[in-house]
Amino acid sequence: MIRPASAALLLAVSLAAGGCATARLDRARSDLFAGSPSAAVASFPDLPPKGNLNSLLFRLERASIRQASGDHEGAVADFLACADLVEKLDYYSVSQGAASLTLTDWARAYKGMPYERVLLHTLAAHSYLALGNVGDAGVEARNIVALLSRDRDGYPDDAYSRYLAAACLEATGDDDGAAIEYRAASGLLSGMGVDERTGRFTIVSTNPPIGVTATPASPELVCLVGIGSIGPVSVDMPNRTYKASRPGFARWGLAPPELDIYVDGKLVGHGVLMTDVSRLFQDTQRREAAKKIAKTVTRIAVKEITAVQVSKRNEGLGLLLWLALFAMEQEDVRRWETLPLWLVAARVPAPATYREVRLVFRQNGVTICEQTHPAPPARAGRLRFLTTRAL
Amino acid sequence: MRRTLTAIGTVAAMGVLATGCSAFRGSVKEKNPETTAPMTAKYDQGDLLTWGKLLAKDILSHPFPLPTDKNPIMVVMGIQNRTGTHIDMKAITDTMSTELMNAGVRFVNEARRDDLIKEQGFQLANATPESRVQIGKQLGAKYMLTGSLIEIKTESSRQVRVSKQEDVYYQLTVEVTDLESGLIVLRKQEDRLRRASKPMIGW
Repeated sequence: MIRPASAALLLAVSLAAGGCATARLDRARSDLFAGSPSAAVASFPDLPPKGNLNSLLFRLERASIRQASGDHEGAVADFLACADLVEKLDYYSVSQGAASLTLTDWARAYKGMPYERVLLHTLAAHSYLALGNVGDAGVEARNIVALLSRDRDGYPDDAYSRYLAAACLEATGDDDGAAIEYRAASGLLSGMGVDERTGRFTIVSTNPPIGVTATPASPELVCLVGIGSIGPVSVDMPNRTYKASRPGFARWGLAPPELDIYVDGKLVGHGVLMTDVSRLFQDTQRREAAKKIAKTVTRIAVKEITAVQVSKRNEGLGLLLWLALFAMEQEDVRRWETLPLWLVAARVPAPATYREVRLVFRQNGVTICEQTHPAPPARAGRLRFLTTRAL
Repeated sequence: MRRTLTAIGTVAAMGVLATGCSAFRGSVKEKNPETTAPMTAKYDQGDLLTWGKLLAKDILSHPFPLPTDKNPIMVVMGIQNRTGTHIDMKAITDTMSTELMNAGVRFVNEARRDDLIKEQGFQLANATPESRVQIGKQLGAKYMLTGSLIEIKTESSRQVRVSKQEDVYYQLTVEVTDLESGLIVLRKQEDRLRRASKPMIGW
């Protein structure tokens, strides 16, 4: 039987683990959601000490905030540290497992959901490409392929990550590896396909394929764009509160915007929505639902028994303990909130030399925002890469 | 019960006395980088030194350079990292070129090479094979050193166990191309397989 002093100590420890340190993190996230990455960088708290349960989450959030602010070197350093942390956390902690089974899921170290562990490599590749480093983007591509190719055990696949990996493999000369990933990405898209030999998008209908004007050897621009932010978990999702909790809803609405790509003022193609990250999250939750329910039922039973045993000795203390234990019974809603909501790719013909690329984001024909980029730094053979984020 | 506790306490105290406080103090020791036992299955300093030296030895024993080809000029065009690990590939070519230089091979200055690659709008890792040959010729080199490093990782399958095993295999291939004829004059390979075991349960 658990002693009251032990119960109080465990309670204090778990509350400290949940901690108020996340308040500044939430502020930084809000700044990013509001479209101000520089303010998010400024308000970001110091990283928690080594061994903190949320170390990975803080790093992931800082990485994507740094990336959105244009600090790609900083983002790469954080993404690499995240990959390292994921590896270190890849074991079952007996103490954390016991605490999560008896007190709260928040007592477990955040290890990242499977799709997040893939996307950390995807976004790392974004930053490498933004730095003009195709070789290291290729390293991240191989990590994406390794993660998505192993037995996913019912967790969702990610067309965007596969497409990005394929393009990076193609750029580093691994045409066979690229073809496999283009084919896999194509299989995940509906109403759209990817030609595994060229990486170009094809509409599965009577319409002519996009990019048909490009010859096999002509230069092409691969645009990799993250739009919006996935934001915090709305517990009532996908009911009516879903809309209200979605960051950037006022700007983007519920549907992903259309993306038009102009090179030196000439329309050269459109973006293709490849991954809706909120769908990855929902599919992950669905996959884990049975496990979560079983665990929650067990935990509630343990708490009930503990409180009853204590109240047999001291009724008042038993009631207090019951209240404290059930106050902790909150759903673990930790997730990487500053991830883009939509991931869009495009592969368009581009002249050998050009000055600028303009991206126009439209919703129902109305321009929501525009971005102008100088000639992309990453170039490998005939491929040029442009990676960006629209908040 | 009390006797057992006393015995355990005595053994613990003796252990602490035997080791002193050294287990709780930081320390620094000189180690031989080539013979130090690896701590993980991943690429480490032992691989860097072993591969660099072995491949240089392999190249020189080919025989290379030919007796008719005294002090040839070589340009290093990089070894492509085709692994899932961020590895400083330049460190491997540096180790190799040091050994080759000791045997009389001369090398094009890498800063000059990088300037030329940059002028042509490339980075070394992104340059196509054709542009590498072209740049090598422009730099006045007779031979070009290129290569690739691949990695194959295999993990033990999912089952009830307390530790996870991982095999990490690396294969490093190095080629020397005659820039005048465009022919590969030699190709050498080194590989290694290392198995690591990692606990799946911890405190």
